[in-house]
Amino acid sequence: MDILSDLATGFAVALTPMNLALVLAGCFFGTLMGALPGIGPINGIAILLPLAYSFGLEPASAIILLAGVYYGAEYGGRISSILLNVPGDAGAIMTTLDGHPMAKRGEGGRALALSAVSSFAGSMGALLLLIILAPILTRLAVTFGPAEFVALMVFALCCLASMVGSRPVKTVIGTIIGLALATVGVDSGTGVLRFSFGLTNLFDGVDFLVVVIGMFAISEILLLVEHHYGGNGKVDKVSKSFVKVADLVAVRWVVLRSTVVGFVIGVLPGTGASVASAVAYGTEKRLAGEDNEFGEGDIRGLAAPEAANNAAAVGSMVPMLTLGIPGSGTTAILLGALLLFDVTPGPLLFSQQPDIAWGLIASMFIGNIALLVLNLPLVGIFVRMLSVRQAYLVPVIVMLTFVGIYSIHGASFDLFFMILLGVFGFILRKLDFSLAPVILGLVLGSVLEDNLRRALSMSAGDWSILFHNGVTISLWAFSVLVLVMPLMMAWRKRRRAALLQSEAPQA
Amino acid sequence: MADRLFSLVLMLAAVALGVAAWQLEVPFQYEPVGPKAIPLILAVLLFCCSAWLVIKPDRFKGVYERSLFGRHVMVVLGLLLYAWSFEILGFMLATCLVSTVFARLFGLGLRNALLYSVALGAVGYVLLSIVLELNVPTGTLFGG
Repeated sequence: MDILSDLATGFAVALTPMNLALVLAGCFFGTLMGALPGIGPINGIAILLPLAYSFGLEPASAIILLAGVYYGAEYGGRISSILLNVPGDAGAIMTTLDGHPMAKRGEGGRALALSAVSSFAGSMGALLLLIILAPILTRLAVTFGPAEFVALMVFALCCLASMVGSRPVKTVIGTIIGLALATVGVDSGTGVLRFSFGLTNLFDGVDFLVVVIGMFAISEILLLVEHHYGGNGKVDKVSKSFVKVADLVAVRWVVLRSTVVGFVIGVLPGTGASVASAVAYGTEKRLAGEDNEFGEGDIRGLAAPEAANNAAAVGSMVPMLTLGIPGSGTTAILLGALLLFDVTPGPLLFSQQPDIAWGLIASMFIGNIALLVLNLPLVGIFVRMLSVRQAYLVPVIVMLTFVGIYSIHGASFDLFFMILLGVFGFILRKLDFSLAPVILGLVLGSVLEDNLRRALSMSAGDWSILFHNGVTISLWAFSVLVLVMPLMMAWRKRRRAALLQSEAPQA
Repeated sequence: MADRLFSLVLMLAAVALGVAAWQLEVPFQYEPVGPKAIPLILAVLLFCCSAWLVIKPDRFKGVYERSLFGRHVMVVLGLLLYAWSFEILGFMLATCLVSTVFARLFGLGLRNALLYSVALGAVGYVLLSIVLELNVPTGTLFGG
C-alpha cells in the first residue's frame, strides 16, 4: 500500500499543468532529437540540459523534462532506423536489421506502429519492475556506509570496463580521464587548489555542463562533417500507421521476454540500451529456431530490440535513483543534472525528496502514454524531419550549445573550454574510446573520493575498513569477477580454437 | 600508429599529473588521505593503461583524409570565431556570421546560407532573449 500512496504523491507532482506540459514537450522534442540521424538521446539531453538549467525550473520539473527527452529519443531512434537504415544511436542499431527490410517491402507504417507499441509495452513493463525494485534497493542501500559505497562504485566502474566499448583498456582510460577532471578545483577536504593552472574559472572545478556539451555536442558536429548526411528527401511516403491485432498476438511473448531482459541489463551499471537490444534480439533469434526470417523483416526481430531498449532506458534509472550510480552514459548526464539542481540521488532520495523520485516515475507513465498517442497519428511529422538538411540543422545545434553554456556563468571562457573539450572528445571518439565512461568518471569522481576519505577518517587511515564486512567483500569479489570473466572467456575461446586447429590436420 | 601516438601523449599527461599531485602541499590536514592520494592513484593507473595501449594498439581500418582535416579545421575555426565574437559582436550578429560559415560548410549555397543565417539570428534572439529571457549578449561593440 505504501507504494500506491507514494505513486499517488508522484502523480500529484507530475499532473500539475507545468509538469504535464514539460513531459509532453520533453517527449515531443526527444522524439525529434531521436529521429534526426546522428543526434540520439545522449546528445539530445546534452543540448537541452543547459537550457533547462537556465530556465530556473524546479528540480522535479527539470528532471521530468530531461527524462521525457531521454525516453522520447529512445522512441524516435526507431524512425530513422526503420525508414533510412540510419540508427540515431547505438541502441537503435538492432532495430534496423528487421525494421528497414519491412520498410523496403512497403510496410513502413506497419513497422513504425509495431515498434511504437513494443516500445510502449517495454517501457510500461519496466516501469512496473522499477516501482517494485526501487524501494527494496533503497532499503538495502540505506544500511550502506562510506566503505560500502566505495566498493559499490568500484564495482560499477569495473562493470563499465568490461561491458562498454570494444577495448576494456580504453574504457578504463576514459574513466580515469573523467575521474581526473573531477579532481580539478578547490579540494573539498583540505581547501587546497588542484590543477586549476591559476585560472579563476577553474577554482570551482570543471563545469559538468561544459564537459557534456563539449564532449558530446561539439564532437558530434565534427563527426557530422565526415558523415555529412545531406537529408536527400528520399524518404518514401509512409502509409498510415496502424497496429494489427494479429501482429500483437504474435509478438506478445517476445515483448514480455525482451522487457525483462532489457530491464535486467539496464539495471546493471555500465550497460545500456545497445547491449540490451542486442541480447534481446539474439535471444529471440535463437528461440525462433529454423522457422524465422530474422534479418529479412521478421516482426519478432523488430519487436524484441524495441521493447528491450526502452526497458533498459527505464532500468538504468534504478541504480541512478536508488544508489546514486548511473547505469549508462545518458543516466550519468541525468545524474549530473540532478546534482546541478542540488538534488543528491541515492538511498535517501526516496525518503527525503519523494516528490522528485516519485514525480519522475509517475511522469514516465504519463510520458509513455503521450508518446504512444503522439507516435501513431503524428508519425508523418517526424518522418518529414528526416529530410531536414544538415546545413539547416547544424547552425541551430551550434547556436543552442553556445547560448546554453554562455547563459550559465556569462563567461566566454566556458565557450573556449567547451571547444577544447569538443576537439578532445572528437579525438577520443575517432580512436574508438567511448565517451560515457568519461562522464561517469566525472560524475562519480568527487563522490568516490569523498566516501573514500570518510571511510579512512573513520578507521584512522586503516585501509582494511574497505574490506570489513560481507557486503564490501562481496562487492570487491564481484568487481574482480566482472573484470576477470571476459578475459577467462577469451582465453578459453582461444584455447578451444587452438585445440581444434591442432586436431584438424590429424583428422 | 594513431593509438600509439595518443597513448604516448597520455603517458606524458600521466607523468605531469603525478608530478603536479606530488607537489600539492597542505598546511593543515585532519584526515589521512589528503588531496594527493586520488590524483596519484589516477596518474599511476593512467600511465599503466597507456603503456598497455602502446604495446597493444588497435588497428584502424579507416583512413583519415587530408581534405577532411581541412574541413575539421574550418569547423573548429568557425567555433572559435563564434566564441570570440559572441560577447563582442553580440548574439545576433555573431550568429548570422557563424551560421553562414556552417551552412556553407554543410553544402548550402551562399545566398540561401545568408538568408537562413539572418533569419536564425533574428528568430533566435527573439526566442531566446525576449521570450525565454536567457542571458544572451547584445555585444560590447554596441555598448551591451
